[in-house]
Parts: sequence; structure tokens; C-alpha cells
Amino acid sequence: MTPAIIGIHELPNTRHPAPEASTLTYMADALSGALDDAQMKLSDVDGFGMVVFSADPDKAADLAWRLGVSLKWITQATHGGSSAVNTMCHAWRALQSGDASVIAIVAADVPVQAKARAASAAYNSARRDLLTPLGYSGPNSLFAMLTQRQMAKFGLSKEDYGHMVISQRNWAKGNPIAVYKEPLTMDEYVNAGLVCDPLGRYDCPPTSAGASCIIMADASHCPKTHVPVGIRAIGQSYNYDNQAGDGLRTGLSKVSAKMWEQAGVSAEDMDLACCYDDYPAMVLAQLNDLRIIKNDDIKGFIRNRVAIGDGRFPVNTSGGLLSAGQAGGAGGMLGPIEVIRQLMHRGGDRQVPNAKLGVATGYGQVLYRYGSAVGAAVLERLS
Amino acid sequence: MNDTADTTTGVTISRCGKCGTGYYPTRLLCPNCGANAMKPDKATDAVVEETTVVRHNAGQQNWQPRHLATVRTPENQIIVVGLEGPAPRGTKIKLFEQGLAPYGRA
Ligand SMILES: [Zn+2]
Repeated sequence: MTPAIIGIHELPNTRHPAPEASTLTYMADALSGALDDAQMKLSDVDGFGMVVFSADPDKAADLAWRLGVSLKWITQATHGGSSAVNTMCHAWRALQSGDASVIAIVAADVPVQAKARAASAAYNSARRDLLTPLGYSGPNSLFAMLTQRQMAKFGLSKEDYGHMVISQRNWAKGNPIAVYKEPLTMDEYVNAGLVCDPLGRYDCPPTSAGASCIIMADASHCPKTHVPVGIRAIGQSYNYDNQAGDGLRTGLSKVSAKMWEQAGVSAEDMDLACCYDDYPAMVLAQLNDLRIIKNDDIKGFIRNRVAIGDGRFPVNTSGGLLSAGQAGGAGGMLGPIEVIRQLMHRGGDRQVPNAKLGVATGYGQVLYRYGSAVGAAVLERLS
Repeated sequence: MNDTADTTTGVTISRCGKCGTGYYPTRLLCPNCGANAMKPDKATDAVVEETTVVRHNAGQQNWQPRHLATVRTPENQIIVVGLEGPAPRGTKIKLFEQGLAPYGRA
């Protein structure tokens, strides 16, 4: 048994979904598309992972019923931007152990503005009681202050973050499902209106509707149309520091060494990385924790490996949330599905040549001052 | 800030009855020693570390910019507070609560 991703499907991210579209119709479309890609039937599915935040009051079992799948394995993740990777990690183990044989992970959200705002204001009791009454407008203010700490500790400038955002925007040009594909200049980035000092408009991902699905099963079931993608190793961490630190290290700092050891490859072997980019500071923090950035030299990484045009190290080649859009639960699948697509060599205009190995992360569940949950997977092209 | 709401001096923390460590926000068990002995206590003073201004709040009409700060108490509790106006790094503040929410005043 070699658990692998054998089918994928993504719906276009959009700021303006059709009036008849809902989170549930997006889920159905994503699942159908991925089953077609895997050349599997609905009745083949016996495991279901649901990564959706706006299906209330329905839960994974309700959706299994509505979608018409009878299951031996089911899970629903509620760890914010980390949820999709966490679910992929659990599904990998379920396939290894034989608890399920064909698992569909469906990630989707079609946010309704007023409901989404209310959900954000009462994300957990700490936010509802301690932050929302202050005039807190969502995590922007928290990550604004985290970004200040990162700037001070690592000597970063506004332009350094600009290089990250502009590089991702350049990748988005090749991604038909991205919300923003037009080039962004450093002038536009630096002079954009402030949202929460020092974060400007381009530092905060645009909320969008979106959905995606991956089908995981034994690699031998992969159709001949594409190559399956396997998982070499995983890492997960929850509440790694009781929110007592500065947030400049993520939970990846606790698990990445063991993950690379388990993978039998190292950070230098990666052909690309997709890290959850709710804010540019967090991409840098995760790359640092993964040791793709060496010796905490974040500034050197930006200058020598990002701000160099076409030869740059591929990070968030979909454009990331910052350019492709943040679609709730599907936002957390944006990175993993992009790594999978690249390793299948289905990246179209943005294909990373000869990509064989990649790492995808998720980051989320802001308990109070920063994210508490992470997941990571080292993925490989199986051929 | 709602001027009509009751305010209380200091903000509520949990203090471990066994090892004495104090936590903000409140906790159930002590992460330091594992004891199930939390008692409510107050933190009254802190120093500003970072500040930001919330300039937009989606869906709110006539939004007035709000000042938020990350502050640290002498016992190293780190709290996100509302401020009445700008306060540079290093500003010493007094903590108070409105409802459950923490605020600071220079
Ligand atoms: Zn204790």
C-alpha cells in the first residue's frame, strides 16, 4: 500500500460567486471534479475529510449523506488555515492502516459577508470576549504587531515584504483560478493604503469563494493521465507554546527536524514550497522553521532567493492566498493542492521544471495572539 | 470603548496556587507545574511593546480608527489592550477592564 494523491480538482476562486452558489454546491462540484480526475466513482469513496467552515448547522456526516457517500472513515477539521494539511496527514495514516481505501478531502467555503464577519468576531471565546470589544477587526491587527516584531528582530523593511508579495503575484499570472493576476509594482505595494500599521492592502489576503478536493488512495489506482503524488513525511503541532511567545516561531519549529528525518530528504532537496500565507510575515516564519531559510537569515533569503526574478526559489506558485484569494477552508488546501499539481507536472504556465519534491504547510487557529496549529507534508512525485 | 460600562482596576489573570505562576488569559490547569489550583488574581501594570491602528473594519459605517497595543506585565503576561490614543514603545500603562475586555491608560 502506497497512499497517494491520485486526483485533484479546484474551482476558480472568486470575490463574486453566482447567486445560486453555496458552500454546499461548491463542495459537490469539487468532489465530482476530483473523482472524474481520479477516474473513480462516487461509490468508491469510503473515507471523507471535510474542511469547511460555513456549513453550519451541518457537519461532515450530514454532508456525507447529502453527497451520497457511505463511509468507514470520516473527519472534520476546525483548525483554521491548518485544517487541510492536518486532514491530509490523518488520511495518509488511515490509508496506511487500512481504515479506508479511497478518501476524498473536500475543502470549500462560499462566505456570506455578514455571517463571515460574525463568525470572525466570535471565532473563539478569547476573541469574542477579549479582542472583539476593543475594536479588533479580525486578525489583521494581531499580525500587524507580529510583523513589527519580525521587522525588529530580523532587520526587515517594508520592501522586503514587498518582494515576497510581488513574487507571489508574478506566479499568480500563470494561475487561471487566481483572483488577482495583474502584476504589482513595488511602488504600488509600498504606497498602498494602510489597513493596520504596518500592514497595507496587499499584505492581507482577499476573502473569496472557492473549493477544492483531493482523492487519496493506493498509488496503483492512479489513472494513466497523470502521475500520483506520495507523502514522504508529515508533521503536526497544536498549541505549541501556550501563546506565551512572540509568534515568530510557529509550531513547525517543534516538528520539522523529525519530519525531515522521517522524509529521508532535506529542506535543500525541495523543488518548491507552499506555505500558508495569511500574511507575508508568516510565510517567512514557516520557511525559517522548515529550515528552507538557513541560520535565521530571512533578509538574505529574500534578497538572494526571492527578489531575483525568474531564477527565484518557487514559493507559493499558485500566487498564494495573497493573490489567489482566501476561500475559508479551501484557503488551507491552496498550498497542498498546488504542490501536488506541480509534482504531477500539471502546472501549466507556472510549472516548476522537473519538480519532484515539495513541501506544503498549513497554519492557523489563532487562539489569542497568533496561530497555534500547523501541519506540513513532504510530497513526492511517484514515477 | 463604552464610557457608560463599569470599569474595574486591573485585568483578571489566573494564578497557580501551587507554583505561583500567573497567566493571561485565564487557564484551567497550570502549564508550568500541572496543578489544578488556579485562582483569580489581577494584573495592574504593563509596558507597551507594539501598537497598531485598526483603520478599517469591514461592514462598519463611520468607523473611527482604534488604537491597539501589545503590552507586557512585570510577570511577563502578554496582553492585547485597547488604548485611547497613540502610545510609543516603552510607555508605562495602568490596566483596567470593561466587561471582560482589557484596556490600558498611560
Ligand atoms: Zn503551577
